[in-house]
Amino acid sequence: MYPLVDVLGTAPNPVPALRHQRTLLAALHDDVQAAWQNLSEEGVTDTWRGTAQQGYLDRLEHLRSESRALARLLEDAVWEATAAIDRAHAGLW
Amino acid sequence: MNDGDLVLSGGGSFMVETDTVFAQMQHMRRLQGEANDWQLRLARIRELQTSPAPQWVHGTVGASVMRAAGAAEAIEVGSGDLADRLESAAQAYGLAERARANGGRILGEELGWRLGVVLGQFPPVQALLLWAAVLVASGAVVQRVGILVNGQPVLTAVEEGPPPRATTAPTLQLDPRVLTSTAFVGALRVVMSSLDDIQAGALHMPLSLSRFLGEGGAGIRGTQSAAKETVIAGRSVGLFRNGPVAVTRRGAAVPVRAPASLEEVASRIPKAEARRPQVRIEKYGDPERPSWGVYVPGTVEWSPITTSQPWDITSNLDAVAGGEPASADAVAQAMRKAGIKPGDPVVFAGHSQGGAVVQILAAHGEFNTKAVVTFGAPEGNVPVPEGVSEIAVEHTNDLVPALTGVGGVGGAEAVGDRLIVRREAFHNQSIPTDDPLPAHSMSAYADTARAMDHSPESRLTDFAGLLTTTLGTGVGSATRWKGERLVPSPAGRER
Repeated sequence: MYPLVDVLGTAPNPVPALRHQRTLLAALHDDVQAAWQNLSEEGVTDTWRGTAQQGYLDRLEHLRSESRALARLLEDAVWEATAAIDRAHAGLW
Repeated sequence: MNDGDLVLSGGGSFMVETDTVFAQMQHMRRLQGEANDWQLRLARIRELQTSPAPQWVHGTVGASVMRAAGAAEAIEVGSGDLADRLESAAQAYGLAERARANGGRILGEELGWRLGVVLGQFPPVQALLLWAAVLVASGAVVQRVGILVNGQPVLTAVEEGPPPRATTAPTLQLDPRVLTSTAFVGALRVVMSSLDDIQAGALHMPLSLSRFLGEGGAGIRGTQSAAKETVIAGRSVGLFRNGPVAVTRRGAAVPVRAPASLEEVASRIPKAEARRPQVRIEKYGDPERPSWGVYVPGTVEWSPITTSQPWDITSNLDAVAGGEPASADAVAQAMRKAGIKPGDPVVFAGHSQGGAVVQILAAHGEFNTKAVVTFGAPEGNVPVPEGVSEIAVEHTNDLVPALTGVGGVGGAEAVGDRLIVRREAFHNQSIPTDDPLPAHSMSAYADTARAMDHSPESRLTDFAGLLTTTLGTGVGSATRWKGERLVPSPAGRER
């Protein structure tokens, strides 16, 4: 659903779509951030002993870093949507 | 695996798993679902793109969204894989637990059968007498447990009427630390399960047939059949006689707030003492649509001679044998007298014999049972009715549940929809020596109930939620009820 250039060579205003995108991205970022914070090691320490416990904690830490990375990507996307809106307002689309 | 952890089994395809492992698995499943949802949301965001994919270069929204979708997919795969591994670990632990219990039972079956073969060498009359001796010995074990539970044996003279006559205190002092050991309790469980195998050997039944008919096979013979035979044998010599019961309310209703936790539920079970009312009934909610909590204690009287006390060893045997214990009749009468209608929602809680009683009442179906929680109950393979949530709490070092053998709560048999919560009482703590059976005490079970309240495991949190949904959070009223067996006198009168 990309805006087509009309016969006069102008495209429809992209700002409403970009704003909607930014709102959805911000909400998704908050949810991912919350999930990342919930991925704590609390309650795990006494569950297993030895290598099994360490293996689980390593995997948990890996998931934490992946979730953190996703949250940062979404932060970037929100920032880029804001920049695109600014460019649109400046008449650069 | 820490033996002080809660261990859950039953109520699904998992045989055994710790609550913490299961909670982590649920956590990973939840994350897996969330990551899937994130990808769907990112796909919708991508549909809003104002430029086509070829223009999604670094630094554009499209490029970040595409990379985010890849990261979300990796989280979904990673969390799903971890959840699968946790599930496998829990199942492996369950299988190991089951194999260990089955191994003990198979060994017990063989040893019991061989002992029976030796018994079978004697002439029939002598063999019968020896079998009776085995039953009496097992009965003595059960009674010894009763002495340990209640501290003093109370033998009430039935024919002569009150006052009750107390026997001398037991001269043999058993160390609570030995009795409260998981190894001892496991061994006792195997011994109690082997009674039917001794009989099979004595009757020259092949070991394979004995196994087929026993608890590990068709379940036709086992602890339940041994209990039935004990009752029949006892009744032939005047013991274990049952009779009708009468129930009266004791005291006025007192205000009470609905229990907010399993620990509170446990603390409301009456103490098993001779002169106390045995049943506590709490009423909550709208007078037109009330809900009820019913609390039942354990065995009070451990004499095989029938007395006016329905919470006795006769009721214990009747419960295990699949009969109709007088104590269950007393609770049902108290419930009817308290005004509980067939459609009113009911929550049951019971300790020891009280646990077996509430399971029987729930299975009977006269009342609209919503939830049942039992502590240290001997289980007679009572089925869980549809729509009823049941939790059986058992300490692995409590020998009372072990009296039902390997097929009981703590055994390896399928437990249907009943969720079993196991824990070793006093793990890494010194075992109290002032209580003969500390792992069976309600205070120890209240401690486990507290651990259950703090568990993140969803089946336990759901059960706690069900209690609140059923009983509410408001103030109600509590009444106490005492049941008495109408024991026939020598002249045929009931008193």
